[in-house]
Amino acid sequence: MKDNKEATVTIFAYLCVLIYSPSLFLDSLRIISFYFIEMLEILPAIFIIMGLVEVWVSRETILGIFGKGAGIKGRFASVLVGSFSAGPIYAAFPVCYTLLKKGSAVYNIVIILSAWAVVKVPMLIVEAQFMGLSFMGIRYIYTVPAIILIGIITGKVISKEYIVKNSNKEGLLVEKINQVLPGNNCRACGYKSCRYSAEKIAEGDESPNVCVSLDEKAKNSIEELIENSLQ
Amino acid sequence: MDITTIGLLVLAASLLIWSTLKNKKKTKKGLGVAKNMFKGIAVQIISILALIGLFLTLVPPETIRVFLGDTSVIVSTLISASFGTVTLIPAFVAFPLAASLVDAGAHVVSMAAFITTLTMVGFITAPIEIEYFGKKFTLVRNVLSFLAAIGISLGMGLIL
Repeated sequence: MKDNKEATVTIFAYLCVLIYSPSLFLDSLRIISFYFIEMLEILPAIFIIMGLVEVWVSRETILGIFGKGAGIKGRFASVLVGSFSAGPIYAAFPVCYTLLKKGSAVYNIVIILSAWAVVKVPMLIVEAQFMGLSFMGIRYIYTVPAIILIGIITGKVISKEYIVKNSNKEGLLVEKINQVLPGNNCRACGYKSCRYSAEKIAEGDESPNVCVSLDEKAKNSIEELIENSLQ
Repeated sequence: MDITTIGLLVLAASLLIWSTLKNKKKTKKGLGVAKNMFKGIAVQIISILALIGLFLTLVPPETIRVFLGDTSVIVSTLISASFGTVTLIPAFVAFPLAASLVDAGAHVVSMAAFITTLTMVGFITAPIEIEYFGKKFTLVRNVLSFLAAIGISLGMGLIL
């Protein structure tokens, strides 16, 4: 682990409290042990689902669906794709940027981004677990139309040309490498995100072998990107 | 074990069986990815849960109730939505946090705003978003998402 900020802060905070008041320390432990046990019951299953979704619904699959087009179907498909992906919203930025370049409409991008963030299936299960089934269900029912509405409004206000003109992502080696990496931020490489790993590879500090999910073809394409950038 | 846990286990098991029948190699890879994700995020989850425990011990329930319970639903929703906008924690731990705040006396519906802005509106991630899509896009999407979070939350208040 090369990224232990939270752990350091937590241990430090707990040490302070232990010195200041041992009883408060024990109280905190009691509070978290309850949530911790509940987490342990569900986490293994959640991660198995996310891992399987990752291999079956790959980035290529997502890109394939959206090369095709828009319409009502496209909107609901956007919600669906977002719902089954893994990783936080910033993991979706590069995927959505690629989609845009490949011809997706702005509103579809916004819908995928939002759905990616809020209506994730594994997360909904955790939500039902802690907040109750009706809380989760009602929030979901409100959120899906809200997301579609946000997408449509943003699509009206922002043109595709604007994004292409204002994006700083064109032609950067890091970005090109980042788009080959799986984008699941599995951290097996030891870095906190795929994007960070891409930076390291682009700077020459790491080889593409650092990523466990890449096949030979993908590794070669990264090598090629690096070679081309040097010319 | 309650119904959601059982449902989850059934879902995971059936996916696993389906995947194994269809492609053993892919399944193995998927489980590897799962293991890596778990290893990568386990320390973070435990740390943040522990910090939440500390927060709830040090900040008495009365204080939480003053800000998120005794105030009107609209005020507590606005506070929660703003809080969710500026924080960046995995959604995994946001749910136990929200549940514990409700136990401490916060309005249930305001937690919907917190969860929605936490995941959809990104103050900390805005610079990355600007890099990809430009300032105007980032502003429009985040403001609309913030408003939607409040709308969703208040709409839930009508039902719950």
